[in-house]
Amino acid sequence: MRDLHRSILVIGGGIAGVTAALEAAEAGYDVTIVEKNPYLGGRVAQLYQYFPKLCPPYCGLEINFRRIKDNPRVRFHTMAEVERIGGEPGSFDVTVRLHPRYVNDRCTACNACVEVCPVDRPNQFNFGLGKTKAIYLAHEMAFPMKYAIDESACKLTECARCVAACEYGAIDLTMQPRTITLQAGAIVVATGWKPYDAGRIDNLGFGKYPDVITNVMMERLAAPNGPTRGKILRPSNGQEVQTAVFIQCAGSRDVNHLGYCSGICCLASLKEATYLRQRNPESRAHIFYIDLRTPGTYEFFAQKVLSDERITAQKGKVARVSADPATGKLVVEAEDILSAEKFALPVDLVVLASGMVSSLAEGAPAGPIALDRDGFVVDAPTAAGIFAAGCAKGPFDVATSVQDATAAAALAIETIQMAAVERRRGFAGASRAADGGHGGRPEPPMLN
Amino acid sequence: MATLIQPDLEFKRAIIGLDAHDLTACYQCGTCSAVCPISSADNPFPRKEMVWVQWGLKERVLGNPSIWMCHQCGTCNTYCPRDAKPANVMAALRDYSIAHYAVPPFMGKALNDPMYLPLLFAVPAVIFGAVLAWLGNLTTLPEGRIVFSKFIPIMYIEVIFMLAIALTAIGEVVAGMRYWRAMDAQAGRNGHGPRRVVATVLEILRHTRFRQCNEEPVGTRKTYKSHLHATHLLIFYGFLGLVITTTSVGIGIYGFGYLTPWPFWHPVKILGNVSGAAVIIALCVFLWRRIADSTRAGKSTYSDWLFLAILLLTTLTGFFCQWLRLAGLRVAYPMYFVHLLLIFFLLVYVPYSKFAHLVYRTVAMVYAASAAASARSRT
Amino acid sequence: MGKKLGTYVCSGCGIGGAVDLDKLTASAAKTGGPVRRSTAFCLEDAQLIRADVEGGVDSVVIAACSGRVNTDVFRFPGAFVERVNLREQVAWSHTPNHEETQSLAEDYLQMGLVRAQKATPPSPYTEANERTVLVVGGGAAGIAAALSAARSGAPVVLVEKDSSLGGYAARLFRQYPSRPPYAALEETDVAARIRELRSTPGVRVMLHSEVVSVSGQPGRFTARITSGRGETAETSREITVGAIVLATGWRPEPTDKYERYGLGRFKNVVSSMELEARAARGAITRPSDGRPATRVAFLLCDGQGDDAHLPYGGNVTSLIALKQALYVRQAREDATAYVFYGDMQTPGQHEYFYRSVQDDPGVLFSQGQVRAITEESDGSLGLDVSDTLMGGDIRLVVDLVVLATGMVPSTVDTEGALGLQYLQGQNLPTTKFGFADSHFICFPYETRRTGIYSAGTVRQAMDVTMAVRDGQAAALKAMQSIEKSSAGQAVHPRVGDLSYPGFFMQKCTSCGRCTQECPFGALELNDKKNPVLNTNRCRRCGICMGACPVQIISFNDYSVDMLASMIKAVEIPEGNEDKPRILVLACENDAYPALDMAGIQRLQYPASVRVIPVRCLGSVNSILIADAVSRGFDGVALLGCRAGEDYQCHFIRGSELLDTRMDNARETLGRLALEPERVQVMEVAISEADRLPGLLSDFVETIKRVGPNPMKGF
Repeated sequence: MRDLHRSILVIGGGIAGVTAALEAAEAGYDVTIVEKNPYLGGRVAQLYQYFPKLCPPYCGLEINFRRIKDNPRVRFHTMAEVERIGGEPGSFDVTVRLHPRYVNDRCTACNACVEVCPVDRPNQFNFGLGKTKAIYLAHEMAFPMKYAIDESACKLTECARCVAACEYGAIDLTMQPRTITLQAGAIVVATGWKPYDAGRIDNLGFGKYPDVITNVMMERLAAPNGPTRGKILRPSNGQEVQTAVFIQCAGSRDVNHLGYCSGICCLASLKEATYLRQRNPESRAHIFYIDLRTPGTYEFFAQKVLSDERITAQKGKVARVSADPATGKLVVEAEDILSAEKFALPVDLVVLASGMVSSLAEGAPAGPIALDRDGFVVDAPTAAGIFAAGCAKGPFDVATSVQDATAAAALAIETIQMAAVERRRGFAGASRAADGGHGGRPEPPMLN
Repeated sequence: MATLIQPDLEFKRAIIGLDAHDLTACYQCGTCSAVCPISSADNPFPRKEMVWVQWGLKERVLGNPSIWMCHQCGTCNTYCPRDAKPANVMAALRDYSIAHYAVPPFMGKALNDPMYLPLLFAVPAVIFGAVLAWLGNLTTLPEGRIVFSKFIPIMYIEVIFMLAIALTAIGEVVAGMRYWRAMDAQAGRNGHGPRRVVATVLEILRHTRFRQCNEEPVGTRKTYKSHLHATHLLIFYGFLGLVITTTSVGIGIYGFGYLTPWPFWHPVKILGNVSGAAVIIALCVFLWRRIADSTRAGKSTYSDWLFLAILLLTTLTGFFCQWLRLAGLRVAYPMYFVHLLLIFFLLVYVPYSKFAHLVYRTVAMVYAASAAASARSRT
Repeated sequence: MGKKLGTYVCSGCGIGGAVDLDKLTASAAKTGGPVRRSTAFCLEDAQLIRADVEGGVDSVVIAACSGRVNTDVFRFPGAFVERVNLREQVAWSHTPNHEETQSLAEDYLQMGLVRAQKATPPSPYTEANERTVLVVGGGAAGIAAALSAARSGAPVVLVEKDSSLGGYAARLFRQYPSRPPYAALEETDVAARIRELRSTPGVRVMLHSEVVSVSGQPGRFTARITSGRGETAETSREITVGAIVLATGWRPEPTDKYERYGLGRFKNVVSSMELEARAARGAITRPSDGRPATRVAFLLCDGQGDDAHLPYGGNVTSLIALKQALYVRQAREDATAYVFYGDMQTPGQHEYFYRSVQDDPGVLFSQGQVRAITEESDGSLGLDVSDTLMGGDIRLVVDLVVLATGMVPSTVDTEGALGLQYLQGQNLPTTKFGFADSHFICFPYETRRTGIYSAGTVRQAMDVTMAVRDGQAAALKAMQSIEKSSAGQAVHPRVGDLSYPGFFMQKCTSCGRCTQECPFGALELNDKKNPVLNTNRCRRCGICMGACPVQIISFNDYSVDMLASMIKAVEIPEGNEDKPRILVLACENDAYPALDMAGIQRLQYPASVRVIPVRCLGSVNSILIADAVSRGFDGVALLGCRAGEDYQCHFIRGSELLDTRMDNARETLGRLALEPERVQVMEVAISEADRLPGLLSDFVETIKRVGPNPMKGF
């Protein structure tokens, strides 16, 4: 008979994963987070502000990271990926691959290595805008505050200048991938999302014109720790942006790309319009949409943003982006639906509201995780004891992801408790008669 | 002023039935209008046509130049995010409106329904059969060198066709006027006359709009019918050539008593052959595209196939007659008979089918041009 | 108090190169305890500290990196650990080997030593440990909460005011699809969940019952419940519970709000809830004459600028209209459904449902604003709609008009109240929408009443599927709060904090300000008008500390005396114009990390600042500011986050209360005949490290302009 485990495994260390882990841990359960990146925080760490409060995500992340630091029940592996899930509710075995970081726990983040590193790489944290060295700290607020080496860029032992520069023996260029097995009573899948490849939208000019960017890139442009230190400049010539157009449903609600609605893009564009306006009082922002999706109380956010007469929202999908060689500007074309007229608008910057794609769309860990046609996790009887949270299930905003993750933690705890009850029921045949076949109440969780 | 609308869902279902079943998926983003290379800024299509059909606004959508302004390049089909196939809807609307405006109305119906095909052929068969019987050529074919006028004198044919064409022409003209009035009614501008007719006709001769279909691609994706401009140009002038040939022959005979058959090197003869060849090549391209690229080709309805088939057969049988005659084979006579039936079909019936686009598209283009012109003169 | 201090000065990460550590350690010698140095205490040398702790050192002062890093390495059970930030906030952000940098380092070390001296180990409050979860409301969310808590091992009491469980969820005919391919309508599974709840041990369901009052605190709430109204005689009883899930649900928006849409005026205008009932009865007919409704219009009235738009329901009304359009079509083949929307709200995979409803040619969609609605002689209704997709305005005649009416949370008024016996009122504090106030983005379940968690439509408008998840989540939060209370630990955001405020009652003036300013209503007044702390309601922010005019409130490890002594520990150079001293009181949650970020980016700012992290700017007492100035500080800067509607304060009101504090401070300055510019509040978000050097240098310049503090040396 398999051993029962009281610990919970959380796949993904984004806002959903971190929330699920902490909520479970603070209820008295041991939790392990497995995160693909060298840092926790996931996508929200790359955002400049949240809608509708226009507040910095790190405000909440800082608290969550402090909760992790102060709570020995939470453990995590970064640069790690789940390969296989085996076992059953109450008793899962999970195979995890640990990719080499080439920097060990002795790293004090003193930055001496970066000063000697000769190799540049595109800054992935900034979606390719700007560069870092091959050894890098993903961003100033990265948690854990440990550097990492990009093995695709680093010359490793051929160079090894960083090894000499590090006073603390924190760099090991011979580090090899490892595979470990973790045991858990329940699993939370919080693998999150990635932006849709805007290059596939052949009529909107991404990849063809440098001044066509995606909404996530806009977050980095606006971020004080981003490639432009928070200035919104045209990538083509570094000039300040006067007019920007936000193209909604760039990939979403489109059978040629993503059939579903990515849910958050309308609000994200409204939010990003304020970034531009806040930096440049002369600037104008135009949002072109099919339906302006600002559900529930978010509608008041939309009203607040649109009360600025230099931010306009218009029904009509932009179907073509071209360049005007004479002015160096971009030209967007669409039909203004309500006036039934076609127009061509010259602009400095085009921001594509590119949609959210499930991180599992191109392959999930081997095991009983059920996916829909879009790669989002769906409930399935075969996947008992495994609970999806946040954007692994669908395109959610942060508030919904956090709510969903808390619920997932609750379900994981139920699984562990009920597995224990089943087990006791299995043993105590006699007690069955006594308590009417319920096998007694589950035990309260252990105290911290 | 709010206009009372009474959605006609029977009409909606009829259009859906004409291979436009995806039209319900449209959510009105306007991509189709924006990518359309020929829809104008002040009157973009086909987005509004889509919602009009969804809501069964029959009169509004049929009394509207846009459905004929569309030249079916299929770009909208390629980029529609809902795969609602606007191009199919426009084509369906064109088929529907041909039947809708047809004079007499039953002709429109007959041409859209394979059931009537035998009947349609029966009519000319009976007429020409009667003539042959009266000439005594129905049972016994003429002896000696093959001369078609021995089988059935040109005169007879001319008379029959002239009468038939005259009838058809009247029908077409009336239909065109009904369409014009319908558009006026929808625009709320009763009884304003045509303007800029010459300019429009030149535009048609130049195939300007067909060219626009290929200019400035929206993106890197291939849209259907990049061949359209060339092919339609070919078939258009090929057909014109054949018309000229026939007319010249008529003039030659009656004007100068210069009887057929004319020698092979005769310019008119050459024009006829070249035009015929042109038509055949163009038709083959059309057929091939429809089959090879059926996904992006959009709908291919019965009337499409009928039109292409009749046109092809007419031209082919024309050539066969000529070859058989030269070969001195008497089977040339029955072949000539078939050829006549097809010509009759082409000249009398097809105007109630695809061929009607000659009338409607011209009317639509003139209407649009004059509407624009009068709008300009007002401001 | 025989405290045994150990001082550990790190030279790594550039500290050694920026500060003269010999001078620094010399100043620590007088503590009597061990003073050690290392190039990296975070590595093997952590062992040195551990050894000293085992050898009896009870207070460890580590002068190295920021306390935000290496937290786990520098955790020594049994010892108080004070971190002196010589790396991020000295070596990395100031000119190396400059005398100002040196004195900054020395002051910080002294402040750290003082803090370690003054801190006393907290004795946790562990008297309240009832584990029962009380769930109020037996709708979708309440049932889910009860079930989840019970299955996780907590005893549960579920209180429902109606005679049966299920709430609105039980009245739905069908619900829109929740799983792929998102096409077919689904049966609600409420009945099944109720059966499951009934068969789960440890759940006590009280029907026809209401919670009339709640007093006490997490781990020991006393709830008075009255049962059986009307037919059966009313009984009332008290139960003790550990935490509460509030799931009292919603009610429809009042009819009058939709008068312009004819609701209440015309027979054939009904609400979406009414249509659910008709659909459930099998035939969709016209209320006026009972004839079948073959032309049905759905108005979402959610368009911007529409005076009746829905703050509460907008995220589900589109989906409900789509679902009900299918009711209409499935009831009669010849029926037509018209849906008029402002913006079709079908986010996420719901888009697939929208798409599938479009497959039905009998459902017609258009954007549109309904301008007027009139009744014809036969009871039919004429709609005048503008801004349609057809172009221009249209008029349409229909048999039945269905309005997507809003969901009003029962917490907007006393209906959903728990009758809290709190000085600050019997309701949960709510946002302007009537939803329980919380950091609804990052920490949606944290209400301002510790131990009470809202779930379902009292938290935001949501559908059944979401309400179920919400109930499960809130149940976990409730169990968590019980878990923490029983161990005497604080909950969010200072999770696990064992300290709590103590009151020196002899000096209390019974002004009651602490009880008013506590954002969590933790303090009550007893009959002698003295404040009484409900420890487990307390979030340990110290706002009461900031509020108290006579400074009698302190924590073991965060006290008035401690802060005052840390200020005193700063060496104030006299008669030197170029060496101003600025006290910076920085919120430890946002401003302090931002200062660290500035260091990590190696941004330089004046070494005249002396930063003291505070739990919350709300905990800063104006007397403390006055002290600093009278001690000779040339200026005081308070760094904190944004207040107002979009507040970021983790204690809700901290930065807001600062205004009142500042008025007092300025008033004091006035009395001392000092310039008001000497005290400034700076709003800085955690992500705005780049702004700090500018803000601080500008302040220093201002102070230099104003001149040195004349109080120096007094």
